[in-house]
Amino acid sequence: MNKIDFLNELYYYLGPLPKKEKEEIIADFREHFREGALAGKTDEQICNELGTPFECAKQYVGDAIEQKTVTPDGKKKHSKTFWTVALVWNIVQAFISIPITFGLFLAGAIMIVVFCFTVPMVASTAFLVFAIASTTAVICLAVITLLWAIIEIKFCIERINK
Amino acid sequence: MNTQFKKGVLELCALTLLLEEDKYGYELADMLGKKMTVSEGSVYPMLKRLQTDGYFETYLKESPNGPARKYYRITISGKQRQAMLLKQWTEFTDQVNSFFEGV
Repeated sequence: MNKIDFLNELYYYLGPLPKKEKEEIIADFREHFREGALAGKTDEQICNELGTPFECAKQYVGDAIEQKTVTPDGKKKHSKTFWTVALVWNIVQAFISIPITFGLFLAGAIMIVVFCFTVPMVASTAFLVFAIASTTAVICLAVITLLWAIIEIKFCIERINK
Repeated sequence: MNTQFKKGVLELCALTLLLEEDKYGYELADMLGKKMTVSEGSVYPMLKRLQTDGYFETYLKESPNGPARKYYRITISGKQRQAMLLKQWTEFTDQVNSFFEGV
C-alpha cells in the first residue's frame, strides 16, 4: 500500500467525523509519512508500521464504524429495503423508457419516409436532414437511457448483496 | 496484551516521554512503536484524545528540513495525570510481582 491509498482509505473510514476533524487527522498522518520518508523509510515500511487505515480510523470514530450506520460522506446508510425498491423502480423505468424511445425512433423514420415522397425537392432535403438528425438524437438517447438503467440496476444489486 | 490495558500504559508512556521535552508526532509514534508492540497508527488517536482531555497542547514549529512540524507539549494537568498513572502502575506491578517473589 502506498501513501495516497493509505490516506484515502483512512479518510474513507473516518466517514462520520466532521470534515475539519478529518482533515486534521489526515494532516497528522501526512506529516508522519513526510518524516518517515526523511528518515529513509519507504511508503510500504511506514504503512506496515502504522497498521491498517481501518484500525487507525476505528480508534477515532469508535463504535460508529463497527455499527456501519454511516457512509463515508456522513449520510445515513440506506437499508436493503430501500435498495430493493430502487432496483424495482429502475427496472420499471427501463421498461417504460425503451418503448418510448423506440416510438420516437419510429416516428423519426416515418417522418423521413413521408417527407421524402410528399414534399417538393428543396423542402424535402431540409426536412430529411432534420429528420435524420432527430432520429440519431433519439437513438443516442435510447442507448444512454438503457445503459444508465443497467448501471443503476447493477449498483442496486451490489448494495442489496452488501 | 489486552487492548484496554495497553491503552492506559501507552498513555503513561507518552506522557512520560513528554516530561523531558516537547516532541513531534513522528518522534512519539516512532519511540512508542519501537519499544512497545503497538502499531504506530494507534499513537495518533491517543495523542488526539489526550489533547482533547487537556493533557497536551500542540503548536507548529519550523523544521530544518521541510514544512513545520506539529509539536506536543505537556500541560500541568498532563503532569498530574502522569504522576497519578505512574503511581497506579507502580502499585499494580508491585502487587503482581509480590506473587512471583513467593514462587
